[in-house]
Amino acid sequence: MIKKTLILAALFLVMHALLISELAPAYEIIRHQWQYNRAAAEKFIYSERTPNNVLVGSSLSQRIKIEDQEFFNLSFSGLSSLDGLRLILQRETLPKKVLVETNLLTREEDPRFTEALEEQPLRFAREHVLSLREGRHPMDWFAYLAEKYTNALFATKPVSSFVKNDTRGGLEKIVAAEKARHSIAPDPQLITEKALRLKQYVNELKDRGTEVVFYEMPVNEDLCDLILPKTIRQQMHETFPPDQYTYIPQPDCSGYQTSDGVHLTADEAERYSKYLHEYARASR
Amino acid sequence: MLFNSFSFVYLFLVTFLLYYIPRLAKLQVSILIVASLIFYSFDNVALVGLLLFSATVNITTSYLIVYGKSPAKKTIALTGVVINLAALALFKYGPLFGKTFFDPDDSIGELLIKMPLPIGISFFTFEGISLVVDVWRGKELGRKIVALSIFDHAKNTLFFISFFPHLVAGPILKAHDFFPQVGTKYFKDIQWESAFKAIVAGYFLKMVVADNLKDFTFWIEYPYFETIASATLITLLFGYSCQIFADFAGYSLIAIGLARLFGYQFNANFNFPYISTSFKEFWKRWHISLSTFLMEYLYYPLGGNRKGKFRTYFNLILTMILGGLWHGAAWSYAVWGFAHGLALAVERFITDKIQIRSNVIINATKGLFVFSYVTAAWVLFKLPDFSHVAGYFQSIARNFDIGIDRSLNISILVYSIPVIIYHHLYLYRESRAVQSIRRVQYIPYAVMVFLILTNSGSTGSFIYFQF
Repeated sequence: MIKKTLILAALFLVMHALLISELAPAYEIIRHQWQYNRAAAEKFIYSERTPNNVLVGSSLSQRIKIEDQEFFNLSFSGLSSLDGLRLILQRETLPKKVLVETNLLTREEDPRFTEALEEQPLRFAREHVLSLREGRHPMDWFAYLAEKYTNALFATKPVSSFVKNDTRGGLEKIVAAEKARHSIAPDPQLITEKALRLKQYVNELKDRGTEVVFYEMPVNEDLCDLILPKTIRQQMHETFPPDQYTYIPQPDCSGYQTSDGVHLTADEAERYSKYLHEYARASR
Repeated sequence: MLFNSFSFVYLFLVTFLLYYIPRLAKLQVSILIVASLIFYSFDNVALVGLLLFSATVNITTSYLIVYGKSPAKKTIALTGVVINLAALALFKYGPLFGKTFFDPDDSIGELLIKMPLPIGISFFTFEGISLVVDVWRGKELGRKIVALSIFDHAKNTLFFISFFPHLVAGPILKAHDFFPQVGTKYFKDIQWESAFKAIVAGYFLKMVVADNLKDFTFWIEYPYFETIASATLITLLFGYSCQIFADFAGYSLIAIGLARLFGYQFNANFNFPYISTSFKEFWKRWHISLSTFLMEYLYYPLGGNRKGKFRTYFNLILTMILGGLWHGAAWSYAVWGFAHGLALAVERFITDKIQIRSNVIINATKGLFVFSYVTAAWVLFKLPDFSHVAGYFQSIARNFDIGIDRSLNISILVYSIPVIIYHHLYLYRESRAVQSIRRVQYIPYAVMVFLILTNSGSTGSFIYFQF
């Protein structure tokens, strides 16, 4: 029974690998944010060519979509800019420019994320066998087809969980929770530690010839100048003085709409992406 | 160290190879002890000290009970149990007491709140209690369990408590089940097929089902549920119910399979719990090692059902509250235990008074009710804050006009299908269809192996590690 099981499983693996590599090498099914994180990380670490410009940040920056092949978004939901920087520094060839989101400077790094990506022999297997990478899960394909079928059956657009016009105050509660979080001053020791950690990565990038540009994403205008973002800004300017480092100015928060107080809506993310792209190309 | 990590695979392979070298046969137990201590200390070496302390207490008290000259055997047994519970209380419940009864700025409060939670403490503490109580209860049993040589007894006890397959998340072994098995094991006696099936099913439930579901049930958390449609909130709960089963049953199956490779038999820990048509049945099928432990070492000593009806209901509720608290140092777990205790008591009250007929429709209704109640209670595991629990159910009651996220719902249902199939295969096990599947069982196992390699979710700790 064991032999038959293993032989049949091996056959399934080969068929799956052939199917993916021959019929749909570029096609991937992403069903949640962690898959998105891993898929982005894998694309970055397995690509032979290093993109000229790389963005690192959190879920805030994940919404940035720059239609330029020279830009790569290595932002991760639930993680920080430091995790993206760690991945970049593992490459032999570095990008020419790295854009670093500073909104969530106090967030902890997650070394397990990069360790899981680098763990051998899986790293070797994923590098050479496309079907083992994120976004090629057979069950996710099944879910995708089921969703397509039900959408066609009910002939309505799928709805995102986050409703735009909430009349019950649910969104207000979410924004209020964010406001409460943004009103707490960060632990001075923690923020200094994070800034120094960031400096360590930035120095290494600069030593290896990469330009670093900082940017702060716009958020809900009621949150923009509360104690947390203000303290982060202050710490950033102390550690990376504006006369020595490049900053892309944060646009006026009152001009931007968010879906939950911190994440830009799709339209606003598109608008901000153009803004960031123009500044990034101009900064030297 | 997680079972689904390469460090564990390497440790296992080295241990397995050494274990069956004929010349090292006399050192088999020692090899497993060393491997288990490496396994336990992988993330935090310091906490091995607590494991060794627990083993020392249990070795000493159990030996003194059986071979000691003192007539105060009950006192010795009680001391052993109290020290075990004190260690559990300090490390596990210290932060809860600190937060509830002390000022966090107070030195005692701060000390209690900062107590580290040693992984697996709930499991090895209960096993220690099982040893002490078992040897105290029966002279003959005591001499079967406790070797005459204190060195042999110490070795066997440390092995019993630390054996890595069950060390950090069970099943909870009973001394009278495990000690008689300790002895030399031979390669030719390995039950390869049953071990293989348990390990494959276990890894599938954990890595494919639970680890994927956790990334979707993330949205149960506050404040996200506030703006999610009612139907999606219900699906999320259903998904979480499947996730918690897959996570825990998966771990138990891996533990059972691994133990079998070393020649040790662990009893089944889950017996298709979601087909239960009563709460009494549910607790005979869910986390069997815990429920039998609570019955044997808590419910029966409290009097069980021998002291009248109201005392029986009280014993049931108290046992379940303590069983709930065992799961975690938060009042939400006590409430969860109370909810189950109350269900058991009310069910007993009703079944004592009314004879309910049994037919397909009635059984299905009862099964649906039990499943729904159990699933609703799982919210207390996911949302320890009571206001968030209330908010979740309020959101279910009022978010009917919010659009349903089909993508999220379908993903949850797809990843829950294996749990549904698993239970239905058992329900219809005598049918021709299931019998014919059994004849070609290598096909579903091959599918599971394939999906483990191509469809695993992001690594997450086993939910029961936090207990």
